Amino acid sequence: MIRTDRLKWIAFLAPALIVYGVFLVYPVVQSAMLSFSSWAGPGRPALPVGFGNFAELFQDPVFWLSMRNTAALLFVSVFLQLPLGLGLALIVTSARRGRRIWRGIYFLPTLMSTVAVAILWRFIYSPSYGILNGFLRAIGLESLTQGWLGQPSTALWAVIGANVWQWAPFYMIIYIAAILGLDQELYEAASIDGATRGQQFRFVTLPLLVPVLVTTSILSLAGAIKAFDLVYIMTGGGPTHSTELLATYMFLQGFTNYRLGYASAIAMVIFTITLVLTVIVLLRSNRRPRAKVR
Amino acid sequence: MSSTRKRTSRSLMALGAAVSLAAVAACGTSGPGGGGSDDGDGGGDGGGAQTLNLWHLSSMSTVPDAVQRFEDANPGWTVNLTEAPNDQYKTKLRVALGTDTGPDVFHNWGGSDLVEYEASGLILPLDDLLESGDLAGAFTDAVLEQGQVDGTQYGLATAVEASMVWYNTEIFDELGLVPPTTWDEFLEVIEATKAAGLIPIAMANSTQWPGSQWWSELVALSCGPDFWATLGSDSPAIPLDDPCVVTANEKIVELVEAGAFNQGFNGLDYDTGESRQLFWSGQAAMNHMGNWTLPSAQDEAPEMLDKLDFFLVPAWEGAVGTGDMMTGGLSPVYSVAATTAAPDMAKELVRYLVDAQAAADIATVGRIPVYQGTEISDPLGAKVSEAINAAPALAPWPDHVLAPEWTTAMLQATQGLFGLTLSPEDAATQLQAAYEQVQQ
Amino acid sequence: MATVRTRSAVRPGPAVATVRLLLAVFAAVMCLFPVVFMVLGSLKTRGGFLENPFGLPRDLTFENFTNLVSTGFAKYFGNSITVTLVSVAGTVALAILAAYPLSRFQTRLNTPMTLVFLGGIMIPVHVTLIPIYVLTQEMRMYDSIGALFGPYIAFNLPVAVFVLTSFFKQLPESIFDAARIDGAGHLRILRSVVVPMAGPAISTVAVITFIFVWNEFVFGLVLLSSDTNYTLPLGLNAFYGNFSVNIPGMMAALTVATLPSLLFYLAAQERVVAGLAAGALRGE
Repeated sequence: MIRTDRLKWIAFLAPALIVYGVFLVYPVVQSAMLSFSSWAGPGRPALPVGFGNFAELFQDPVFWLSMRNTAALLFVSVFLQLPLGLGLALIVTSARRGRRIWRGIYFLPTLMSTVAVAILWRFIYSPSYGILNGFLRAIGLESLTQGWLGQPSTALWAVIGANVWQWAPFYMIIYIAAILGLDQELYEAASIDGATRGQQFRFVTLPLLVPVLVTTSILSLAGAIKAFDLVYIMTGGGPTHSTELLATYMFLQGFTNYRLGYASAIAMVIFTITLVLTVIVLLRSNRRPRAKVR
Repeated sequence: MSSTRKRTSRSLMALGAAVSLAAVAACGTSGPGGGGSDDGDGGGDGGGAQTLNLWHLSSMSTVPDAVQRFEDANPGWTVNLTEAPNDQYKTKLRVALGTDTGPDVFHNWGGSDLVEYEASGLILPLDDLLESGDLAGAFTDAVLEQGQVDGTQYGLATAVEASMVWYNTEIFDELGLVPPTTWDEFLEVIEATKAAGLIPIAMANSTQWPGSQWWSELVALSCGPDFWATLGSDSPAIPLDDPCVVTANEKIVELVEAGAFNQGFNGLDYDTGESRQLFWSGQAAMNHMGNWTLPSAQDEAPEMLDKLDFFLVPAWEGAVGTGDMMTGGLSPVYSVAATTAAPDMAKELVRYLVDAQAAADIATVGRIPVYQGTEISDPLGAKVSEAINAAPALAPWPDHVLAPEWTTAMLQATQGLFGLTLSPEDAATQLQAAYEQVQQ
Repeated sequence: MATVRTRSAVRPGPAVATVRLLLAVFAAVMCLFPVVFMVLGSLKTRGGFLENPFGLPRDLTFENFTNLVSTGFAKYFGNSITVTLVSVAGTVALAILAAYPLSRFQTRLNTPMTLVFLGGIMIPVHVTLIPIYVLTQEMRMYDSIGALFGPYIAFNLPVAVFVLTSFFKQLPESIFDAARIDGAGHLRILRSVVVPMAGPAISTVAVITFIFVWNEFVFGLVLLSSDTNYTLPLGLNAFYGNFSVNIPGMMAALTVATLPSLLFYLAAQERVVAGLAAGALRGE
């Protein structure tokens, strides 16, 4: 180890700290300050309003709707997306041949940019020439055809479906890495003891994956809170806010209504929720065995 | 507005910059400095003062021709065109106007935008331009008024647009239908086209403005011309929760419940053509849309031009307004940004965008010029022009009447009405509440 | 991969194997059908698509792809490549410089400084959006791709610093001693000892940064306004808003936009997988 040489230490860190400070730390502080003001943008006066934005926010039905929708996305992300990702990972790791090919096929959705995914799924959900309604017609379920993105009852789930499609393979990749990193001797021991494959999964794989499951849960929670691109392009938060998420509502208030203070208040809510999650991660990681990553 | 002195100094600076920086001018783009706003005391940064930035809607196909004429007449000057589709344009303009990355000349709207830009000192008066050359006396007072704030001209228009119900004459002939003149007849037409297995009216409302245009028109019919004429003033004649607004809202619900629109329309996007496609392909019999349907047809489905006609949304018994009223506004309106380094040239560019030749050009693509005496050779275009001239009142597009926050609330409310998730009464209450909040 | 013997102990019966294969195929269909729809759609004519949106193209055409050339698509690609190269290079360079003292200097300040960077991992982009948008205007960077460099590098630094710090810590002390005996200064040690040995970690950082930057949308949406400056995701979005009724043209654009990521994956799939896993499991 090199003995303390503060000057050199800080000199090496300086470039990163400057960029990090200017484009990450300072904006967060600035955002917090803005959330206590009313501001319509550069060139216009910013008026201090105290907690006014937050008071208004907590009485804003659309805010609560976007909280609810974000919560629905969170729930599905953890309880559907992750199991699907795990399922895909098990399929890949249990294949004896062509693992890389299966993995590549399943991974394709995550490789596409979110913008492309959103546009593509708009076509899939299109009432007249979309695949989904076409499929329903083909199997004689004409009555189930819908304008999937056009009605509040289905729009949110349609968007969430596209989100699951895109991101489940991402978690698959993590699970594959984790499963392949597990100690193989445990399986050999288990099979010598006569454990079936189901039992092996239940009593060997799953317990060992717990740390990774925790990490991926946190990741998918954080991902859901940040979700924006897909909804912005697929529905713009509509119809009538039915797919509005915290992030899209913040964008609407900030960049359509030009209420930058109010939008900053929503940003601070997003920040606070994420902060709480971070604390959970930190507490969790203290009592977690280290998982190997290849 | 801070006066001629500032403008003069800017022109001088621009001139100086033009001389000293002529060599650099060619590299000016719309990037930083390209627009060349003045740096205050920077001694004329110019950064390409021989360059003007013009922002326009991507649907305005004749703009490049006008720009070409400007460049030919003013050697050494180049115009950078920045175009965007309707929805993105509004956000983009709000972001950039008043900064040095913004345009010198830009597509604008009348109404609340113009008032706000004027109040914030973001745009320059164009009165001197109007008094010069061929523009003097070229426009009617009614047209000019829509580009004025307190009697000062801040915007000049090339064309006027309005919405109507376009229909497929082939389908109407086959089904023995004629354009309706009363609301009940309108419902019968909807019923008949539906019975024939067709979508009566094509609709794509995910961006919400198509529905809001229906609403604006129905409110104008229901409440009469006074409604839009006084909304936004200090004392609106009719509040937004007036029973006549509720009636208009009920008419929307009536249409939706009659099955007038295609499935899932609240999730379809007009800009990407999802409703036009239904109309062009003959799956839908009608399409309620602005007169830009004409250029769209020329562009996307020329075969449609032979079977295209329109009627106006008819009034019902008890409506204050009459069936010959229309909804619409001037578009494109061009304004000059106060940040421009070369106000005189920017104004000169506006001249080319609204002059007789620009009017003639825009008429050929199916739009309705406001430059008086322009000949419209296309019979349908001429018919639209006549209808607009004959309309006793032109209700405005509702998304430019009031502050953006109210507009958002209005767009959401109309989409909710169309989606049957918001009752006519609740919609009216919400609109009034949003109005009161904005007025505070 | 080759060393893994996960399931060799128990050989599944043919019934189990069949079920498993069916499951695998079903999952593949679910993952691929939108992509197949996209690629097939891109090969149809406009009329052909409307008559037959789902099946194989009847009159195969490549016109949709050749037509893309005349749109701004090449420009979007160029912008994306520039932004990605600069951001990846910037992130890697700054992170190496920062990870070196954090891992090899002995000071109590290292722990709090590492935490400062770690904290950034969880900061959502949206929290910084409005201030960065204002800042960009003040810096006169608004609507230039240069405006994206700062935020992109800043948001990738935390993970990059973390990954590299952990890696540098594992390097044996002896090689540093040897270098120092030769009289090498810090910069030379970094250049000729640390960087050559840190290849895997650096490529991991590069991969994570590439994936983030190549697909990033929100900053672009807020900080760019001219079509000429759009990156690929924004260009796609604008193209979609403009494309009118030309669905096959849009499908061709989507296909072309997806190709680079696909090729990138095929060329460096083990790196991509390791990078994603490392980025994701960074709490470890």
